[in-house]
Amino acid sequence: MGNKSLSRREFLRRSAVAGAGVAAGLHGLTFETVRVLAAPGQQTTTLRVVSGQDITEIEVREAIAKMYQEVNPNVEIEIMLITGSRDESQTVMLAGGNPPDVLYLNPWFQYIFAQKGVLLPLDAYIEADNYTFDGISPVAVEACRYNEQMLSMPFEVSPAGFVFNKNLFDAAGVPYPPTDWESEDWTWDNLIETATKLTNEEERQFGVHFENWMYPTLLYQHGAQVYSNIKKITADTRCVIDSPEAAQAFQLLRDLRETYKVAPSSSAVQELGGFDRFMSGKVAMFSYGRWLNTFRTITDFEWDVVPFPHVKDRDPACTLYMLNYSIYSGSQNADVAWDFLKFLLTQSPQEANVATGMAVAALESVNASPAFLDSMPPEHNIVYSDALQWAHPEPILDGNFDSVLNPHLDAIFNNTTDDIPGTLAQAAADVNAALDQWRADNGVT
Amino acid sequence: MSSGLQTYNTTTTLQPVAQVPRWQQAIRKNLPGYLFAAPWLIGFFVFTLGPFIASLFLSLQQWDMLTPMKYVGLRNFERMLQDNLFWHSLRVTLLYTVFAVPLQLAMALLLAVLVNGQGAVKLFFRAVFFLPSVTAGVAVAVLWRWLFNPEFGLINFLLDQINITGPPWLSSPYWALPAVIVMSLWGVGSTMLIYLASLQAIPDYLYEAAEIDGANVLDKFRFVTLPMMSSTIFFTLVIGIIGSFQIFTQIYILTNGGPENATLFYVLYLYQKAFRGFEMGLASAMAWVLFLIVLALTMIQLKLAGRWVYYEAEEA
Repeated sequence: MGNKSLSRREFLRRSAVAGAGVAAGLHGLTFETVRVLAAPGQQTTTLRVVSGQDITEIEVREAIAKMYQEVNPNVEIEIMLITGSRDESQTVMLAGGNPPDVLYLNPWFQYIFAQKGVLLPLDAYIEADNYTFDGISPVAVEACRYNEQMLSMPFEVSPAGFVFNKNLFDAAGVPYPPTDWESEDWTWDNLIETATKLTNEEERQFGVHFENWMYPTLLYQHGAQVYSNIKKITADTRCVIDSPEAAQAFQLLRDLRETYKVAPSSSAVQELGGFDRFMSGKVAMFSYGRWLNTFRTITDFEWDVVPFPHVKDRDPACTLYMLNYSIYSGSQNADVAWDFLKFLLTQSPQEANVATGMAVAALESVNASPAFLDSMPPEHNIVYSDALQWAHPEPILDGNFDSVLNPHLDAIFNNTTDDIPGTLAQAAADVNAALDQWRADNGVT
Repeated sequence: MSSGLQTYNTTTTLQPVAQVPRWQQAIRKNLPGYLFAAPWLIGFFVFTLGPFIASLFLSLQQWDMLTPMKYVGLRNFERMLQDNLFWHSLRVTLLYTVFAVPLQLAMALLLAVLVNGQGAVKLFFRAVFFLPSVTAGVAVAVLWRWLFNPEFGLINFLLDQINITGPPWLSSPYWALPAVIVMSLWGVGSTMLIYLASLQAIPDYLYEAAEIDGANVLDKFRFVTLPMMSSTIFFTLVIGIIGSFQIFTQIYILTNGGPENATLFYVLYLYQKAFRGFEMGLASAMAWVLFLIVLALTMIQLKLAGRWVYYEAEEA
């Protein structure tokens, strides 16, 4: 170390240079979170498209972007990776003045964004292009419509069923359930009978686990609803979860746990989720959708999927979970964005997406292709695609009433109330009061 | 200001010296200091003071983050006061504060006394007790989720060993809040460390004098240790109460406010209003009410501090 001293001016200068270097480095880091796929076109349009940060999701979005660029070399697609909650991240993007051209939304945020006027209605494009939705799941298309306008394009749809542990069935000598949603041999009575044989109290092994948050499926199966209408809150929208049919649906869930004891007790449900129980081979049937890739890491046992059973003398039913693409209403590249959305609903991107094993294709022909049926376990992927004809949209409004409704449902799920009809009546009353307040606040008459 | 005044040195040569204004002198003198502090200052103005002022402005607006704001005056505050869940979340938070903060301070003090002194064992346990406080909040929440598991959890296993059937903890509306209070003891390590430093600063002659006066161990703790540590305890009490009103991460991961809103803490409800209910104006109003509550509690503590807090410097 020499004794040459550093002047204050020189020190500050060097500090500034070092600071600038660090800042430049950090700037580079921020770019790592956004993938920009360069296109060789001379005058490019950059389309900003949202994607989640799951590595599988990023890879397939990149692959699809490259497919699009092959036919549209003048379009550069910037994939905006979002962390944490998909919906809240996109809300903050819009609020912060950093909007993407193409948003990727679940129906709830889609309806809320639509109500706020953030999404571009696609009807003019649809009409101009004579675009038809032939071959696309009708229930998915309907879920994209809000207030008589088409505000999204479906991309991936995800109904659910029961994944089941084949080894537990084999060990108990129980035949696998049917894979046909309409099978007369697969009612809830059949399920209880099957689950009873698969339950071993000593081993803490249960026959079935049905996720609480999937309760709308049980409502639909019993002919019940949460709200009198979904999507847009009108002057007539009411919470109707206090129907006798809804009480029957929740009673069935209660009975599985407390009467027949074929499902983990109410106290254990929140403590050790069905996913962990299924992964550890301690529950034979578990309600979930195709989107959970983690199942494909299972090496300890064989597994497959079967439909949800149906209520005797009623149609099968399940709930459709979706992610749709929408165009930001302020986008400067709306024409290109529309072209991209149309492209996403064609064979190749749909095949690429379902081949990841994360979803069911909105383009139904893809669900009959090897890309869907053979690319990934489970063996009977067809159960998920067949579910589309029995699928109902999620019971969602363009406001948030979960914080009012859920505590009442908690009481039912957690067995802290014996009076299911009374609890549902109180839930409906409270939600309806919140709906009245919402209408007053938002000028809906 | 060049007034024509001239100063003269002791030599025969007369040389005019420019009078530098005092403010310029101050800037020249202090500039390096401000430059060094600039990163923090910029961060404070942009990320703390700016949002602080902005939230006051937002509390008077109806704003959903997606459409233009609308001035509504005090309407957000009015709505907040009419909201049952607002009062419920405040009650939950107050209950937590009342039980968790004294427990945390008592536990930290007990641990500090236990590990005070020399020796490898005490040094080892200092590290052991401190380690949890540097664990990330999310990891802690996940860990406690397992500990509270009614079927496989360690807590119910231990209770079972003494023939007590453990409650369902996090899925019970009656036990969820006590469970969160128990969990809060996990992070007392940092407070313990502060207490330890304070303990070690107490001069030995005070204990010797107390011994001469016939004090036993408890007397020494009561009449020497506690008064000498009172300023430290006061500091941790103030910080503890502020922190308890801001609890969020663990609850978000552990219960998300459930079951049946039993753990709907104030800041969690504020977050839900902002990002799930799109009521940023109302959430900002809630943030300001929280600020005023914390400010009021701190002022009350400062007022009462004179009665029980001993400052050695003041005495001197």
